[in-house]
Amino acid sequence: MKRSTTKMKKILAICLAAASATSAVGVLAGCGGAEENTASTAANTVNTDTDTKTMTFGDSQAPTSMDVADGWSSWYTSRYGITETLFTLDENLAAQPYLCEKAEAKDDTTWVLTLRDDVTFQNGEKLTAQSVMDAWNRTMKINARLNELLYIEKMEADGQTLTVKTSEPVPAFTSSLTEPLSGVYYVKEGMDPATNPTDLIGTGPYKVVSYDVKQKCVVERYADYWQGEPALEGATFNIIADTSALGMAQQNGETDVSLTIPSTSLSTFENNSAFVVDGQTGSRGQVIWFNFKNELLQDKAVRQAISMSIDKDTYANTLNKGASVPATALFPDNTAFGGSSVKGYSYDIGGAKQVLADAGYTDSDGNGILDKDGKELSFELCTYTTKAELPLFAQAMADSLKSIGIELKVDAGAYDAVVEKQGNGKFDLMLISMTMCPTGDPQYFSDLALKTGGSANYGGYSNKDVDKLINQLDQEFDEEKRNELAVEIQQKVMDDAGYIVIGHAKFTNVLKKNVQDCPTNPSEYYLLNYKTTMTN
Amino acid sequence: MIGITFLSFALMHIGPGDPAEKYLAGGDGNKGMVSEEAIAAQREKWGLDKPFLEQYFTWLGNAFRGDLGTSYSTGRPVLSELMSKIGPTVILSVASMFVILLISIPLGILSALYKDGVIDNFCRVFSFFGISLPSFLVSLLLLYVFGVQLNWFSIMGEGGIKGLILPVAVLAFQSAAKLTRQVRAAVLEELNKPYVRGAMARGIKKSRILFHHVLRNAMMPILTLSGIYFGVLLGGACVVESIFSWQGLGQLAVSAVKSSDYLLLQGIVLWIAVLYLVVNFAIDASYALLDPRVRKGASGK
Repeated sequence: MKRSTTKMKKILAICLAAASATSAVGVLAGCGGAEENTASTAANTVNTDTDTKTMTFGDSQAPTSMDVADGWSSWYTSRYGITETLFTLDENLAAQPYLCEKAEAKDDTTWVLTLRDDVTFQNGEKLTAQSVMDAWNRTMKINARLNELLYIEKMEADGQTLTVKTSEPVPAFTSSLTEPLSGVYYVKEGMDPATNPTDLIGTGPYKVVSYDVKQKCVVERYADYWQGEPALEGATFNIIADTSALGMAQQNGETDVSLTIPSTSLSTFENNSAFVVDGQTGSRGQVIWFNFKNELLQDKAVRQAISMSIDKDTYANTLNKGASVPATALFPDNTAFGGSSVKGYSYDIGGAKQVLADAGYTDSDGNGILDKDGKELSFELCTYTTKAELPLFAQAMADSLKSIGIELKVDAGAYDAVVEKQGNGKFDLMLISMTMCPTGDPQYFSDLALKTGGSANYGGYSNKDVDKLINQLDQEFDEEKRNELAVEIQQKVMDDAGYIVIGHAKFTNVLKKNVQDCPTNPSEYYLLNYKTTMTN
Repeated sequence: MIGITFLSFALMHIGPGDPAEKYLAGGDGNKGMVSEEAIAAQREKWGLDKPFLEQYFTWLGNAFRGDLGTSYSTGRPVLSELMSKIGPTVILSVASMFVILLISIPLGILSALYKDGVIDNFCRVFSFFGISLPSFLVSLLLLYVFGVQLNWFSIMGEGGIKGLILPVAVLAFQSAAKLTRQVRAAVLEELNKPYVRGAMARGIKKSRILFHHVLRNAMMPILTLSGIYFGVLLGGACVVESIFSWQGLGQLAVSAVKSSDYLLLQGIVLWIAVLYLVVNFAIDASYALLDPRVRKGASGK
């Protein structure tokens, strides 16, 4: 006994020695740093003059270049306050005119856009219909996605009026104009923002100073911005790939505003008065696909029972720590076409059991799994782990389904493996996190997932009435009627128990308390605007 | 070499994930945002629709001419992507290797000489921690203590020597923990050989035996091991580079995997393969310098 204590003491002493040695190294190393730290705090306090303020943003994701046309880079140039679009999405995901004064549909395939007269590019040139046309022509040539949104066949520019002829009726045209890929930038021979970041000249409040790919982007004020002089002198967007490190940079004050902090780390900031956690419900839904090729899943009673055994509130608030909100039907409840006016399924284990009993399912062999005609209610649900909440939800589902006599095997793997199953249809249930209304319009998800043969209708859901309504939606130009149609479509899908949406993820930013006018937008398109500033 | 490139090329093609789709559709769950036709067109543009073997031999042919292709995800030549990231990784590796040797060799020798003494016990605990703690944990702990609590370092990573300290500390901690034990074992083995006892018996000074005979012989396996560690470091430390925002090959490899960027990954694999060959060759060459037997054997032929 005594021997072991002395040994323990020895080990302890060694550990202490090691610790002091490390800290000594740290002190030596820290000498240079301490100076810099006082310098940076000094800079923070001296900054009483609005004109010299800069802000630091942190994000784990980054664009591949400063070229709007390149992949998804436009989402970042929009967030960084560099480029803008003709329409913008408000906090309820409704499209509002922005660089455009008005947009009129002359006939089914002709849109007349009237641009604002007071907008200039960051090089002083005026924004005209011609310049919009030049930008779109260049983007379309490089990125096929733009014309999947706009279906442009021909464009004509006359002063501030741009007439767009589309290859088919595009009722959601103005919504599509909010997608940052349709952002406007100055096009001139020899300018290539893909290789030279400062060649990107937008109409936004801030212009590019430099971009080190996937490292950091620095922007500075464009003083003649059309809505007024931007409040900050400039801003830095730091890319920190590791989300734990990202959170720490916010914690120690290096970052003023952080994006994409994982929901598991948010509590650190929620309990600290120095920070504001600002979350907005987006349209990224946790969606469950049923495979209608599975004989048992063809039975509506089974789908209904599954729908009723999901406790959406607990999933969102407890399992996902409030990082998502429960969904009533398909689309986010806070949109004009939202699911709150639809009757969905509420959590009801007893009811679910009843539905299955009424449909004739019994546990004939006593193994705890219900069966009918010799077939057991046993399914496999595939999902992926990069969105941390998905496997949690799947496991919780397996537990509650067990209590109503359905066996659910969870296969949580890589996203790529799930994509493979989407292609070959080898799944029973599939749980995916998917952006349902990227441009704030219900047509996108309806066309893709609800329509018979839609490209994301992986399970083969099909209802003639729903198809008819979606076709109407595709042709309907009146905003209010579109919303009504979307509600009607959702009700039909709910009646069929054709899909389950567990909830919609919140898009959450963490801000220092003194940051002002930097609202979180559910679309993920916007961040830095001309009003954004910091108080002292 | 060709075997390695073929194997990695094949593995990437067998696994799921389509670079064209990822390029057009972006992140998880956005697959529906682009039509199948657009993805097919992109695949055709990049030659991904061709049979696997044809793709591989096209790549191989170009690689022999020094053209590693253009990265799918960034649109820049793979070679220039690699070149821009090799510098930081080499700096990190050399610095780490220097610290590793600085710690391991003296500590290992001392542990062997004073077996079961204070230093030996200290090293035992040190290696125990170093081997068992995963690098991401050590990295985050260091960041939390020195970045958040003490505020001595920037989390975002900084240039110059100061930015090197934390990542080097993690890498050195891990490898030094292992190497110290290996140095100790090598020296101990040498010390137990009969010639040492013989030399002692003849009354040769202990320090002379140690420096002229024991260490010289023990250096051979240590050199081999160091070479391997150095090779591993030069391949890029994915976790450490990501956490400390160090813009090196490790981070590049992670992002290449995420975007199924076959060509970029292939470039990285090629670089690591070449590296191992060079490092191993250098070690073999140095045997000749250290060991007269090898020298003699070579000239004898």
